[in-house]
Amino acid sequence: MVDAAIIRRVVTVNTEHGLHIRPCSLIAKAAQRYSSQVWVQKDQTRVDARRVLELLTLAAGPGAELELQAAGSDAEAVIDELSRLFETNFIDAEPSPVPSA
Amino acid sequence: MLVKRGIAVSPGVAIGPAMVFGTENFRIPRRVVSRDAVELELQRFETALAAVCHEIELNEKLAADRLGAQYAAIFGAHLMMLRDGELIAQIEALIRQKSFSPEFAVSRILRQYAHRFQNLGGQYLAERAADIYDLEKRILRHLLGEAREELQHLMAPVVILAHNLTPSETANLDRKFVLGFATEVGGHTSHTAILAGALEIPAVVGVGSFLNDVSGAETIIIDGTSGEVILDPDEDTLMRYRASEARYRSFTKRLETLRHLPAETRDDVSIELLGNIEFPAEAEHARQRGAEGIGLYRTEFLYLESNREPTEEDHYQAYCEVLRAFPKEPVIIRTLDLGADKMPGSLRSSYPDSVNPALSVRSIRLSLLHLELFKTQLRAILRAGVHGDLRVMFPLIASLLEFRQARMILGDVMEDLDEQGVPFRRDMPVGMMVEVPSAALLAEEFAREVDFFSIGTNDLIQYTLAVDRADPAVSKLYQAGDPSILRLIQMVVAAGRRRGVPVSICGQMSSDPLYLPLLIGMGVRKFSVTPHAIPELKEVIRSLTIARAEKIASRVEAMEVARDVESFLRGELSRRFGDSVRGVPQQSESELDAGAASASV
Repeated sequence: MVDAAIIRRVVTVNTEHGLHIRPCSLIAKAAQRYSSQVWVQKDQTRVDARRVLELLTLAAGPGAELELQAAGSDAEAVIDELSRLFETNFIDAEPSPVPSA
Repeated sequence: MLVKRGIAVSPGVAIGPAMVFGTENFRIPRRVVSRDAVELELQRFETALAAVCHEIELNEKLAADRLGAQYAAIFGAHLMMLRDGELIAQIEALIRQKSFSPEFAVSRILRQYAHRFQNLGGQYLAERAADIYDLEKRILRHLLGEAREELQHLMAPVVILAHNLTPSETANLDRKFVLGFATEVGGHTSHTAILAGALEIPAVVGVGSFLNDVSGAETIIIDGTSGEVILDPDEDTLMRYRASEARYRSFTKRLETLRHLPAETRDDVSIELLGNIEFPAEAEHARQRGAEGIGLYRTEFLYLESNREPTEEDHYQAYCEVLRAFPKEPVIIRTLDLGADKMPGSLRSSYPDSVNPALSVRSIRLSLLHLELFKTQLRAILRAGVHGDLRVMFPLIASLLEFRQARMILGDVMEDLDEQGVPFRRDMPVGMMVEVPSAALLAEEFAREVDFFSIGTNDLIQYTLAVDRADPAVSKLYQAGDPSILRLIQMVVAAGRRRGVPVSICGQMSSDPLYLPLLIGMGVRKFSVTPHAIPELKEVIRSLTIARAEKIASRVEAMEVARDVESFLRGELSRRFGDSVRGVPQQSESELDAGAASASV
């Protein structure tokens, strides 16, 4: 994979409890539907977006800035879908989050 | 140091490091597997993983139905974690490349994540570590199964502490490495207790909740004679018990020398000592202990071990295995003795649990209601009969009609075998257990029709005194020495003598050195006992004359209450043997204390 082919977009975590288990699983589920490689980077740490366990280790709290990265034929599309998850606070994709998880 | 007290079920002292089997704790049995087992182990991992995923899906659905979608999402996330291809690849790589066992590989990888979460800081992620541990447990549970395989893969001597051990777990304990065990639940007559005695592993059951006080690996003392379990003993206690452990060992060594000596009284009357067993594998052990045959082979385990009904072949193979240990000696098989409380799988639903199981469909009544079940067993018994001196015995006979019915069905089965040209033992002796007072009262009438009697004292006492010994509220009233019990036994012995029908005793009372002189004095010459008690009973027999035994019996005959009988017999025993013959622990210390206290009033 050539580095130049990577598409990047910065998003902000706005959920009350940060990037907890449910948002992580929604990101992973979405990322798995595409053929592109997808990563989420926080500071110096970059993890595979298709892996819930890895996403959790980012420990991204409320207000954290993350960079979504994707490389592959459908890179645009997956970045679009993931950004939408962040913009809608992960609400549209699934029923309302667990209260005060 | 913490001292706990339970029910002593298998004598001896065990000192060693604790190994705790909680309901949720799993110990990884081994780190590596052999190279050629790798493919098999990978498959085992896949199967376990699939099962766990299925389990979580069910939980997800359940949560969705009951709590709402947002709660179900938690399980959805768990599922996502487990379906993480990279995670699975990591685990599989450890199994494939390093020959790690799936259990070890799973634990290793998942714990790495759990530690990462814990180290990242923050309450939320630390709590996610708990999710990971939960997943680890789920997978391990599937990998290790209900059988808790680790019990079979011990590498160093340990003392096992558990909430409960199933009978088959107990039967499979490796005597090389299991020094002793203590369980939170269980009682005297639980099969686990009986098996511990048979395996000669010091054991204490019914300790009550204590596992939370143990972290594992600390030193534990189990005194299977007094019922004490000592956690983290101090130096003094440890020294005291090491001495008593050594004493006990030399005592059993001495008994060992009795193995090849005959069970004869000082005036040369021989007493027949047979063994009680539950599993075919115990037959060999019984022989080594000096049993002259099997007086009671309980066949229930064939039904309880698995969920399917045993086939005729299962029965046949089990009986043949026992006959291999005793090819010429008598082997008495008791037909199915299960009740409403313990029912083989397929029948479980046919009986409501609201009835009193002790007075409901159990034992021979169950067999007579389910003829196919009964006939399958009888066929196997008759067929195996050609390989040795096999005999059949019906349990819990309460009326002549019942015995006749059972015998008639045996006749039907013989006819079937005859027609099919299958070889079987035609002159199979047919006996009955005397466990219901009605059977003892009608012993004269029964004696005309049976080939032998076997008195089952456990049930006879329960039905005569109306006491369930497993019920702590009344267990003190359960007294083998009650004159009513002795009189019923006397009736059976007398009827047997008049009609030339052999009488043996096979309840727990017969394994107790306390009652042996009395029973011999009453005319009993045949006992079926827990095999490990044989050497000790032999020692008692060899010190006795018939004249003395009869004198004991006539003294006891005049007594009116169990307390007097027991204290008289105890005096007799200690006069003769001091403390060396302690017997199968039958009573807890507190029961003894209560007896002594009331005697002094």
